[in-house]
Amino acid sequence: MPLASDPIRALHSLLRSTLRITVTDGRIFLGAFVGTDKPMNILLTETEEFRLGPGENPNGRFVGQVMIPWKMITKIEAQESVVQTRNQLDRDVRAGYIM
Amino acid sequence: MYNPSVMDALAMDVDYDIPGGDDFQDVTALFAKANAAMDPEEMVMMEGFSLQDAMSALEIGEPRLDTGMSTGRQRPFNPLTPLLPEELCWIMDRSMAYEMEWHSSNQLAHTVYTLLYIHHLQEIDPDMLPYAYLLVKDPNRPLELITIVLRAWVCGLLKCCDRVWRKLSKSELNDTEDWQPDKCEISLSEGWPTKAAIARLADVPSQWREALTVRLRFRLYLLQLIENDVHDNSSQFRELVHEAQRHLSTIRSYPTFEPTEDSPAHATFDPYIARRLNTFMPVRVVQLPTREETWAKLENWLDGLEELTRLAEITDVATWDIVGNLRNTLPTPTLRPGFAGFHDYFVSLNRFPSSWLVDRFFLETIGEGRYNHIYVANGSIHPAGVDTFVKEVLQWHIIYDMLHISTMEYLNTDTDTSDLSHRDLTLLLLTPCVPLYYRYSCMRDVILSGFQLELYSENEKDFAYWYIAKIIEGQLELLDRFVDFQAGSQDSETYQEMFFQRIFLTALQIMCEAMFLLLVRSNKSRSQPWSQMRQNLMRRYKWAFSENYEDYATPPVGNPPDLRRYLIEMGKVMDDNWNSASEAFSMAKSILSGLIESESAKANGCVGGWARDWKGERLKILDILAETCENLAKLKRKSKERKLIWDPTKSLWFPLVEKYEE
Repeated sequence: MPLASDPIRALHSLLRSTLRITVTDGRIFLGAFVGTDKPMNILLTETEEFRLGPGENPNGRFVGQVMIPWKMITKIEAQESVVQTRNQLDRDVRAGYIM
Repeated sequence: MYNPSVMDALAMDVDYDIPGGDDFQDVTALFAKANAAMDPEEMVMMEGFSLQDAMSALEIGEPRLDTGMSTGRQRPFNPLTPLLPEELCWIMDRSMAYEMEWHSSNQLAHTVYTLLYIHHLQEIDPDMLPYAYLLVKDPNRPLELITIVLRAWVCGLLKCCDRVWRKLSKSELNDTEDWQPDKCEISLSEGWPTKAAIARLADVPSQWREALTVRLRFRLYLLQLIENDVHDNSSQFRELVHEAQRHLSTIRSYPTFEPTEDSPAHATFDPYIARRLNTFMPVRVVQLPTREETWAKLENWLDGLEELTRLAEITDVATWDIVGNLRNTLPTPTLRPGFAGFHDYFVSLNRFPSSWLVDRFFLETIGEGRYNHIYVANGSIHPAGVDTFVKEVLQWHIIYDMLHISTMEYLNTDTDTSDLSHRDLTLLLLTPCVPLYYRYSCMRDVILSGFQLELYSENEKDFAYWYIAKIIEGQLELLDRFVDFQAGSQDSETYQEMFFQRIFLTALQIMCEAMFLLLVRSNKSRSQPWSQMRQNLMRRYKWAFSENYEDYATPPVGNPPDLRRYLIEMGKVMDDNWNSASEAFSMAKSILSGLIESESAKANGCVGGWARDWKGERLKILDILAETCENLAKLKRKSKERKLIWDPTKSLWFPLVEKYEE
């Protein structure tokens, strides 16, 4: 998987894209990835919070800009189409098709 | 039979869509690798996004900031879990308690919204029930109790909140201070007609137990009361109030029921609901009052509405003003909608022509309204201005300024005043004094309310009493003129009212002066230097030192307070060995007792005045003040020092002497 070859570069390519982060208490956050640091505190903006299950609001609620510490995170997902486009772009740059 | 596991299995038997859809790829490992590859100080940040921007992010998992964090306290809730009728009664009572707490200026998210059915109305719609639920039969817990009875109740509750919300938002109450308007994007059924809610409440079959029926009928009457205006049809309104009162007393007479520990009824409220709503308000669990306290609040609200029906039949501006002040003064619990109703009633003044309003205003103060047409014709008094007169010290000054200028212009121009009698001329000169009189009242009430709200520090109290005494001095001068002017019509309500005010304010002034004396003498070693105290006073009495008065030609009367005179009088009091506070309190008590006794002897009683039916409450205030005087008169100058205690729940505006342990 080309994205993994240079993980920091791969993170850069994910900036601005939508991440779906699941945390330890079962909540799911959907928001635009704007940054992170060495301990992997992940910053999202325009974030919405969701819970699944009976009695929960399927439309989620807007929580704006959040910082999710690594210790809370159980799963991080990026939009597949974004990952593929970025991978393709990465390959094209390395192949010299795009300067 | 009811089997909770079957019901929960039904609820769980649903596939939940993952938010965002299936077009996602797991990149957790990538982040883990990046963590290993990054230098300690390195950051990956979007262009244009600074570290400072990052600081404002809400930290997930931090209990103080992350309102959505799971507390693990809440039991799972299934809106279609069947319940016993008595459990339904418990839910209804609890939701009423929360409703009253919202009226007492708590957040919707912390009160009414904790009833989870509000967020699941669609799921308990009998026409939308999943087929599987129809197969589960339990004769003790028919599902219709939820889908028909409880649904009607919740709809009625929401509609009541919606109507109250609208009334409060139109009132002069400050949102986020006096009441909380944040709906957190939850519908209060705004687009649904009240008539439909009333029909749903009325259509519930009556075969359910009486306790449920009574509650539903009570909700129906509440909704109709909120929907109707007292001045549209006061007799119908009164009828509704009486019906609601009757139903409330029936509800109260039933034995109370508490659901068992394992009852699913406990799951129907979630005090932490705010963590799931669109609100930035931190979660606060509202301490619910007891059932009896909730009934007392509801009773108080209904009594307030009944009072409104009585007021609706009276067209005296002064009576409305007095009743409004009594509600502010006497320590009775008040609920916002009652106030809003009262305000609506004030707004209804606009139904009358402005000339009527202005005439009444003067007539009820100086007994005549003849020359007011001069100002009305000039457009000097605008009804909207009078509308907001309740607390606006500056607004009164604006009216005073306009009347003062108009009167002076009228007298100074070439208008022929030779045919004006002495009485006419006096009336003309007296007219600007009327708004001035009400302005003094506002200023006095503003300062006195500071004692009820426990605003003043020890160093500020003597000044507050001194300033009130000065304001009353100005007011008494005006009252002398008003009373003299009406000497020929001593039987009129206006004369009685002004006569009462003159005696009452004399007693109040004596009490304030005595308090000043007492506090200055007992506080000789002031903890604050004058320069600091002066600054504090300028801040505390910002309204009195306001620069806005410079925009008007006539200088304000009564403010700003004369600080120099205050210092001189403070010095005099310290050197004075003759005047005794105790004697002054005794004198004030005898004046107040005289007023009370004159009323009970029915000879020359003037306490009624424009207070009309509310005379009893006025007498209550006199009683409280007389008792305070008696208590404070016990303080002898040379007696062992005793502590004064200001407790608004025990006395009005003044302290009481601390009791010694026997």
